Amino acid sequence: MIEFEKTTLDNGLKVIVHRDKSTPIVAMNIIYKVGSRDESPDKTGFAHLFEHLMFGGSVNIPKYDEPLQNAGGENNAFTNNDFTDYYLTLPKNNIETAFWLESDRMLSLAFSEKSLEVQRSVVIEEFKQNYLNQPYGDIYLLLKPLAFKKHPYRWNTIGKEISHIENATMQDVKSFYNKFYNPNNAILSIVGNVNPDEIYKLAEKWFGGIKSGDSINKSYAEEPNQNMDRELTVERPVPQNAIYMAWHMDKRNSLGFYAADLISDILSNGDSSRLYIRLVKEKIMFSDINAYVSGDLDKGLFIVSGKLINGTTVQEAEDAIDEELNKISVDLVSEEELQKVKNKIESGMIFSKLSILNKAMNLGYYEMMENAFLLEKENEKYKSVSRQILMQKAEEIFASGKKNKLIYLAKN
Amino acid sequence: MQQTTHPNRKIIPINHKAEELILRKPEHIVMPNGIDLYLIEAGLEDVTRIDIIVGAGSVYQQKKLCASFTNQLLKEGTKTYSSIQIAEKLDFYGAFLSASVNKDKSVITLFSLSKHLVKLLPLLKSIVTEAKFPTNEFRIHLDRNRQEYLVNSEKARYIASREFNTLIFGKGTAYGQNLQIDDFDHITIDDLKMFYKSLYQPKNSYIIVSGRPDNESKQLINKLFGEEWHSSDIKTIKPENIISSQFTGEKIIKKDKFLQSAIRIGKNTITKFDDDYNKLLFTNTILGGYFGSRLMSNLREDKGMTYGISSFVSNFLHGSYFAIATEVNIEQTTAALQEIKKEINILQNEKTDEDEIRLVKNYIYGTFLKNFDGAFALAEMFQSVNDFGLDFDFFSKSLKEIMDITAEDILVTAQNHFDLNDMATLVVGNINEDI
Repeated sequence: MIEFEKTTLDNGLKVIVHRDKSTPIVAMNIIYKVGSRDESPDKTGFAHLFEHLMFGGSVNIPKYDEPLQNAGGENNAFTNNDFTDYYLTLPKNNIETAFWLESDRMLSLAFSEKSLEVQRSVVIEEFKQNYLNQPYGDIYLLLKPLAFKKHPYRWNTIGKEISHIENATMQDVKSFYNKFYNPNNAILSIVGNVNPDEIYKLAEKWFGGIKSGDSINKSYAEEPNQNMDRELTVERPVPQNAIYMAWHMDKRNSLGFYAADLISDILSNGDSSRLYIRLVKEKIMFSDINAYVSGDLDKGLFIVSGKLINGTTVQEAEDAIDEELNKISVDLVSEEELQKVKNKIESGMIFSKLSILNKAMNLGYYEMMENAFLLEKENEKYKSVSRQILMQKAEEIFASGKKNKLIYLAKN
Repeated sequence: MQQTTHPNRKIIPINHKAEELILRKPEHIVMPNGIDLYLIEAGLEDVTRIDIIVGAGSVYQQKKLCASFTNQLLKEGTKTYSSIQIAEKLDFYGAFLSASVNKDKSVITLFSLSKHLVKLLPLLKSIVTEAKFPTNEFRIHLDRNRQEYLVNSEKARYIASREFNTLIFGKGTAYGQNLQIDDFDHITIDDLKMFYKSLYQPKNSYIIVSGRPDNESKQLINKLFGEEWHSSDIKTIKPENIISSQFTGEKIIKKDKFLQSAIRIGKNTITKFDDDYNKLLFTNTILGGYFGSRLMSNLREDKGMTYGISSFVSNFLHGSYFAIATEVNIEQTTAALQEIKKEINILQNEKTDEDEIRLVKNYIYGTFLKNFDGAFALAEMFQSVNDFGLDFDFFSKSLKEIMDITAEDILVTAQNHFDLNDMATLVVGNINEDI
């Protein structure tokens, strides 16, 4: 049980506190409910560019990293389709430094031209280094627009194209900030050997005076049902052919998600999983193969990816995967196999509690999904998936006409 | 309650009174067969980690790949369990087995929920003491690793790490081994079996148990690993020709089609036992040991030449080295080398100001707190010193010495230990002379 307390400030900021007496460190996590799905199609990559700008100085604090290092702390951040997450850890006696830093950059950024210029270049370098110049780096740049035609998930967090980032103006950036970086659009969670009442006092002191923003209309273009298989073939300078297949699936906060997640685990989680045993060890067709769910808040993707051993043709590879997906759609998995993956999930949750940062992130994430109290219900939801439900879900996901296939051929 | 006044945001709220770092020593138990067991009971969750550390690192191998393959194939089949049975059982109980090897040691680690540990201990014992190295699993493992080697041979970073290792420790030495594609054709199952028989023995191993193991598990560990595991008469291999002389000067491996150059600069250096060691660590942190370091601030934040640059000290049982590592835009290779040299020169000639010294001390203090937070972290930190015959006192002493370091210490340390004339400089990529 992760016991915690929750409150909401007048300006809408949610504050969640979990006391962990076993550690001298405190973790602070802050989620802003803005991700790449909130961007407009002609101005993509903003949520991620913004994550970088948040380190360029806020209105009262010229540099974020130095004061934090002085306080003995470390930090990082990430952006995805749905939200942006900032996190830091530091010795407990300096918890107020964390409040000072995070509240100032929620209050207002420095918005200097230099910062925009520098971070724009860094992000463009990141685009090139991680997506364009890296073997297999542009997979999602290709797979997402193949699978999504209307929904904003069709573009990647880094941006649809470099020019969107190149053309971002200071005005664009300020509008984005004013719209999304507000207390009523944020969730703050703190884990450590701290007294919740003291944390609330600190939250009120540092965040209480920040005005809330306009409420945000969170509606996204509905993705029409897919009825025909889609396919794309590309050639790249990589050593091995690869295949990526994606199907649409339920949104994160739904019972269907849990069934799909268990399917992915049966297929490829661990050395005894089906795809690994059959296609890597027995048939020796793939050097790597994975099945996983994207975990998006809106209806996301179920993905199977594999790197082919030289000698396996693309058709053989696809047929082998299809055979396994068909099996799980028409034959009930055994009780033991289902229990195995449920045990792995439960074990994973317990191990994750060893990290105060994980706990802080999870509390914030579940609050964003619906309610932080849901965190403890997760295991029950997985347990409730029966063999029948699992088979039906597989049949639904992998039905014909629903496949999005990317064939990634090695040049030369 | 509506907030009506703003706090003073111009002044950093910071508390410099640091919490004392209390490091509880593990409980040391000598088991009936002489093997040392260290017990670290801590934490809130009912989980257990078991590390079995064996003196079976790459320094002992006659053929390359022997140490790593032996370590990685342990779980691929034993006298009692097949590869699939091992995988099924571990997965069913939500347990994780990891195996890793470095120059000196081979480590097998099991993570398990405490309630299932008793069921898994016989499996762990079998993996460590009666591995079989089945032919089919060996072949698959060999092919996959050969494939991975080929892929990595196209990455500047991997080429540089391997080559740099040889430059520092010497060609043909046990520490200076550099894996080649042909090595995959020479390694055999018999090599692994002999290596395994010789080195995977109680007299050559120790065990760390951390987390919250229950009493039944502790008793079973004692029985399986402390009573029923015996050393044989086979003598453990003594490593020979571990280190020879270090290469000094510049070496370029030309790959002009690469988009980045990998740069490695470094030299042999002092060990944990030297009086100056903590001064070296501190000076290293300033140079390239954290995000705000001189190298990062210059080459990444100011000039955008790289996504990351760092410097570090690596310790092994028979030697250690200092190194600077980065991958830079290939067009800026020469400029990057110049900037690195410049930063070293500054450290050697200009006194570091008090603000920066204080910041780095505070930062290091924070990393100490983090590195010792939790039972598993304690196990890892303990392993890192126990191999050298040291214990947690080493860290308490280090922290004290670091907090006393002066600007003068930094100058002297940089002059003594960062002399570029003593260093090997390796570039995998291209030096563009026209810049």
